[in-house]
Amino acid sequence: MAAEKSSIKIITLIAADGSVFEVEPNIVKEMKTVQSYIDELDQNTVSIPLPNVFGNDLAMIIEYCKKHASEEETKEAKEEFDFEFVKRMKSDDKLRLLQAASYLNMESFLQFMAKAIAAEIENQSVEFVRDYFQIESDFTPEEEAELRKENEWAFK
Amino acid sequence: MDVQSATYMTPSPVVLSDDLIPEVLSFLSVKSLLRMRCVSKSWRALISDPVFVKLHLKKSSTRKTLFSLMKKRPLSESVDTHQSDGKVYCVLYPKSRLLHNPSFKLSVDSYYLSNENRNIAGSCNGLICLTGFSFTFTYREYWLRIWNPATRTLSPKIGYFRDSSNCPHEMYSFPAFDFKFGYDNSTDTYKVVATNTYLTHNLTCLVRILTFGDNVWRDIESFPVAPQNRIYSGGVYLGGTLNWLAIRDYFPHNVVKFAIPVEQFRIVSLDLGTETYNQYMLPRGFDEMPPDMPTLGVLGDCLCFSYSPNKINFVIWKMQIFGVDESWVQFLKISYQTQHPDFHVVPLFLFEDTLILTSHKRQSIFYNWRNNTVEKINVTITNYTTTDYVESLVSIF
Repeated sequence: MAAEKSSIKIITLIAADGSVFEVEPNIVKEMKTVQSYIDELDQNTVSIPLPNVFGNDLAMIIEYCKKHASEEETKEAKEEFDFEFVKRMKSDDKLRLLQAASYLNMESFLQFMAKAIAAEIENQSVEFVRDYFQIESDFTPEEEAELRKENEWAFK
Repeated sequence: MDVQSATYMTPSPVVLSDDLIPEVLSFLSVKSLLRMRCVSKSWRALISDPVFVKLHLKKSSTRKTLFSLMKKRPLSESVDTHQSDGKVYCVLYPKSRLLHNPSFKLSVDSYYLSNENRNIAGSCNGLICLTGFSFTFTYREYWLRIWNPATRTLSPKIGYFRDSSNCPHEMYSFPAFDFKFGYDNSTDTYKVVATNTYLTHNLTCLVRILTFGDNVWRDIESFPVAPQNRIYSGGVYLGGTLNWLAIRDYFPHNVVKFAIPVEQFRIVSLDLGTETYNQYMLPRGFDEMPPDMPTLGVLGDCLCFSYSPNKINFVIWKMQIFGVDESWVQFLKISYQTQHPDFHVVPLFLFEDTLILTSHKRQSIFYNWRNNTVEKINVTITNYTTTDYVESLVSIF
């Protein structure tokens, strides 16, 4: 009901690089961080700076929200969209979008991105995953060898 | 696009914040996670953290893609090899693959040997409780094991108990107790309930319970109404309870021959938290229970009750809200075109549009309830050997 109380018609989102996006209120419903901010306001327009989200990423998030907020789209069309949406992304894009989803507090988009990242690292080697997440191993070679031995079958 | 992105701050390599790592990892398979323990010390700690284990289980449960099957056959190549080597094997079938290609070949990785375990007492949160027994001329001895097939861990034999009830020596080679496994959410513990399968002459039943962790058998109050046919349809686990079908004021030898008024039936439900019983009624859509024994089961997270009112129909009722007698609805009525000489089927699993049933003769049947189509398949799936299963990291205590 909070959305009805608010009289805001147009929301302007300003990304980290200064790019500007005008969106309708139903598009930002998923973005809890933005939504809770505008719920407090009583004015027609509002500009919200999002210093942690880059323009390209914000454009993608808005595209995703538009598709999923649409009542005309079928479930199948949305699934097809999700599939293509992930397909055109590089690994770094996914990681940045996951961070952005967390910052904007978008639960279902966060789960969607987390799942997409998981799909990339499923069945991959330990080295690949370290590289992917920029993690330095803090095990000694002996410790690591011991750990690998514990579940040897999982490395096959 | 490239020129544009070069003009603003180029995003530096992304390093995920610590709270997002579990969100990603919770979508991984157990096998991958066991490998990822080597990534770093913090990852190793995370993957064995009980909070993470629960998060992963929650995601795993929504996938519902697997169930396990155990049978006394080696499964080197295809599912349907009929040689026996006396051992028991477990196979994990992805449900979707089974439905779309019932004759698929199993890869070596998809099964796991478990020796000398005769029965599955149940499966909960990725753990399978196995039971076994040995006998001499004077007693039977039972034991339990907890097995997590995904992490490939098996507990030692626990919960030994002896049963030296007075019976002819030759009878000792048959187990006299039935075991059911469940999870009690209120105390976050796993429990096994043992009931003797042969009623004493005063129709009472011994009920014993064991909590994993303390591993001691305790006798609890007996059933308010003693369940019958427990092997067939008893001890159905649903949300922290075990449920049996029971008949009031009955005489065992009558069951097979005569119809029984439906009012005499009760669902006896044991709450694993409080260790007390509740009783529920069957649906009111019919008066008498025909001679073929009805079945209690769980389909799509609902308690289900099924029976054959005659030789050409098979009816399944669903208790939509557990414990509410008024919430019974008729879920399915399956009719055969012609009278079937051996028409007695047991519904086992519901997966998407498909209901998996098993017949008396161990014929597995896939019934698509939207299209009303029936397909018989060659994989043996029975309620003795098959159980719903989701993989998890839950430790075996």
